[in-house]
Amino acid sequence: VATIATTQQEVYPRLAPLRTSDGLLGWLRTTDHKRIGILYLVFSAGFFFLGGMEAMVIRLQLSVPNNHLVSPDVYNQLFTMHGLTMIFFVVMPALIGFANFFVPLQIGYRDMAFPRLNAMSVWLFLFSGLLMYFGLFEGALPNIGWFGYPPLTEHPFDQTAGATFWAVGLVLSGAGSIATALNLIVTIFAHRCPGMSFRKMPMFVWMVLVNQFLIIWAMPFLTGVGTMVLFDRFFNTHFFIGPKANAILYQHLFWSLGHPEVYILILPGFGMMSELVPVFSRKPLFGYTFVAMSGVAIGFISFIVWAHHMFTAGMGTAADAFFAATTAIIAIPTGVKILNWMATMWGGRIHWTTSMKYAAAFIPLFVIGGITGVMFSMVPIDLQTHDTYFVVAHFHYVMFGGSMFLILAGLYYWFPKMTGRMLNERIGNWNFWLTLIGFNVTFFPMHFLPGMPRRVYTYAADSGWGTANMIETVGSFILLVAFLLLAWNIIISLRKGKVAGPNPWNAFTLEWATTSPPAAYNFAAIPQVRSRRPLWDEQHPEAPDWIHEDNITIPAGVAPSTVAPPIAKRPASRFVPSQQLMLFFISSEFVFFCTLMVMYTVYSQYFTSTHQLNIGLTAIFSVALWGSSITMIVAERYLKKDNLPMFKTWLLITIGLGAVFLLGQAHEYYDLWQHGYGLSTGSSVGAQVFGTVFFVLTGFHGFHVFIGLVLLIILFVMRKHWTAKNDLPVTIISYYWHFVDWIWLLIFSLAYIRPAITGH
Amino acid sequence: MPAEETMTTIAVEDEPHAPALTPETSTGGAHDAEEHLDAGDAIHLPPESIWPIALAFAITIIMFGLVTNFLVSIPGFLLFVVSIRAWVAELMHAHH
Repeated sequence: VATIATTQQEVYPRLAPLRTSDGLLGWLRTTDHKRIGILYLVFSAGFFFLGGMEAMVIRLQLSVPNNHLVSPDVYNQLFTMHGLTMIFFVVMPALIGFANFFVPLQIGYRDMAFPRLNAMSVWLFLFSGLLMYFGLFEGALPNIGWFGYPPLTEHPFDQTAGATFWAVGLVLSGAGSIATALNLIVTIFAHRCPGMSFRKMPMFVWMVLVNQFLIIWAMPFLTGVGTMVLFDRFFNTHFFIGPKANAILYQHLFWSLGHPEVYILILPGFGMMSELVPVFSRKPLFGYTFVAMSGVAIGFISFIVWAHHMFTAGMGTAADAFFAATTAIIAIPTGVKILNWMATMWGGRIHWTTSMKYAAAFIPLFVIGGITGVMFSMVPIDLQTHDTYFVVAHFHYVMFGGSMFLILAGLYYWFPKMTGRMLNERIGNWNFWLTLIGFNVTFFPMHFLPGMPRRVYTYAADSGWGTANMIETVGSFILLVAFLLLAWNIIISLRKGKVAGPNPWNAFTLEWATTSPPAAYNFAAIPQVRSRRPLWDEQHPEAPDWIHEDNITIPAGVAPSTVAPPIAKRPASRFVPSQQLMLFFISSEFVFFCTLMVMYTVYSQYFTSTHQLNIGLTAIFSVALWGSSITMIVAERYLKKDNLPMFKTWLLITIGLGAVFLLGQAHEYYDLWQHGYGLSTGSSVGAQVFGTVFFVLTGFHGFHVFIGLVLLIILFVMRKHWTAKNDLPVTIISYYWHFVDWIWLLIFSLAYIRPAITGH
Repeated sequence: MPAEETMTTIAVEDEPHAPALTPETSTGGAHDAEEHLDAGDAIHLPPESIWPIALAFAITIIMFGLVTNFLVSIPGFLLFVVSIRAWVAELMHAHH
């Protein structure tokens, strides 16, 4: 047994400067997960300022009837950027920031699995946000609503670059989010400390893990649909404009991301709630397993509720009934969590810190938002209230009363660990009450405006909406004061705040076992745990948690420590972290291709492709591609035997077969082009649609094959580095190569074999 | 709630091994180039690097060029190649 803090002070102080240098350059070059977490939080605070100012102008514009403070077009830009900013550049990165800082600490590790990738992700997030705002300098901020329904995104309706900045910004930020999510998943899978099985994992880590799976499997829908919009705008393709444009398909694909996104924005908050409620109630979390599994259930169900955003689109009774049922069902695991948190508080010795106040206030606010959400699952109610201020009230109770209150609770809880200083509780108390009052004054009256259309620029004096809107605007100013107080609290606490010490809240999880702020290396020695509350066990050896968690019977008069079972290191995974990263990345890529294949299937009703596609010729070069998967396996086997000449030969054959496929595809494209088919051209509407969907689907696959080929060539050029013991890059790139080979089987079946069989 | 200033103790494995003073010292099983830390408790942290931010900037410039002018994407693409190359070189250096 060693004292971590003491050990760090005595043995490791020389190491810190090697990891983190001071000054601006140190922050620009950092690969430290804690600094990166702080960068996420600082950048999201900057975007919160922008999004907040946009909200204030919106409220001023709506404060009185017939107001013309800003023009209608500027108003459109304001509500679009407010939504985009708050969702993608405030709440999401703030939660990722906390995850970045605290997941490695809570699992007893020293950093993320891939620190450089982690650093790239945070900068990608910042740059994508700035890129979206860059439209400001061209007088072309997006003005299409945050979900950008076509045809508003199409050239005839938006001839500025606004929609292009929107699509590019979202695709870029989506890429950064997926990179972070992959990193967090691998970190949690591969680097938990000895003893920390999934049954012993902190609940914040559990919820972050579920959340990252939502990101890697939901974001590709946005990437796919954003790409289609960009093709429409750059190459005049026919996805969402033209006689056969399918705006409903866009809605389905967008909300396949859009609704999981709602849970992406709340699940880590649920994790924070599950950390700080037990700490401030001085009790273990009630129903740990139920809280964890209900989070998993929410994750799964969130993928099958998307179309409740589309009841007014006219999907038919069966679809309406299905999505109404799933929407109602997802309330059950969410309700389970609420009951668990309340049961945790019940009978506890509650410490009403500012953090706990935010957490406690979250419960009724989120329940209000949740119940109005269940109301929307009832189709007739949804039809009446769709796109009204009742909806605006609902999602602000979920996003602000839910996510933002939990972010603030987490900030007050973890600020001491991040900075070494306590936030001022007195100012915090004012901050909390002003936020609570300001929030409810702003958003509660919106429930009573179900007739006022969402996004309306202004309204008539005799509409009866004036009083409620004036009250809401007053509320927004109270909120403004509350956040200015928070900013003041942070500034003065950083300078003069009370020194926190390692564990100011007497909390239970590993992040509190090290100094505040933690050293660059987090822990001098990797800790080991026996229960979900290792610090409780340490402080209470007479009644450690592992007795109850593992159902161990302690004979009377025997000290638990004498019968404690040994802590085994977790068995090594078959896959090292880099392999895991590639496999999860492939799963995300698979969703991207599924998006394209769904698109192809939907549009294929408008054309017949049997006469223009040469299935025989394509089958030949397809066999070359599939064969290259086998030759790659042979090459790997020779490398395992350290037979480098044969490895080199079979790798060359693999490259050759991949090149044959690309040449075949190029020939096919040339042939189609000769017959008048292009991305946007064709002799008929059907031919134009065929050109659009065929070239985009197969072209993206071809691009992936090209990337794979480049990677294989790099492997070949660097062949002297690879040996039986040093074959990891070869293995990882082979995974990618197998994926692009075999996804072609699905595409070939869809685009070539299916029409040949059906004749359509 | 009282703020306790005492150091918290916790069970750890044996006393830590001698610290690695250079951040990229091999962990002795570093099969994985980015797998910078072994399951043991030898401290082995990646150094600071300019290439992650350079790569993110390069990707952004490429995308910015798509929106504005394709010529803008060219320096972005060059920076992209340089960043990837330097990044891989760092990993290879760490690996050896």
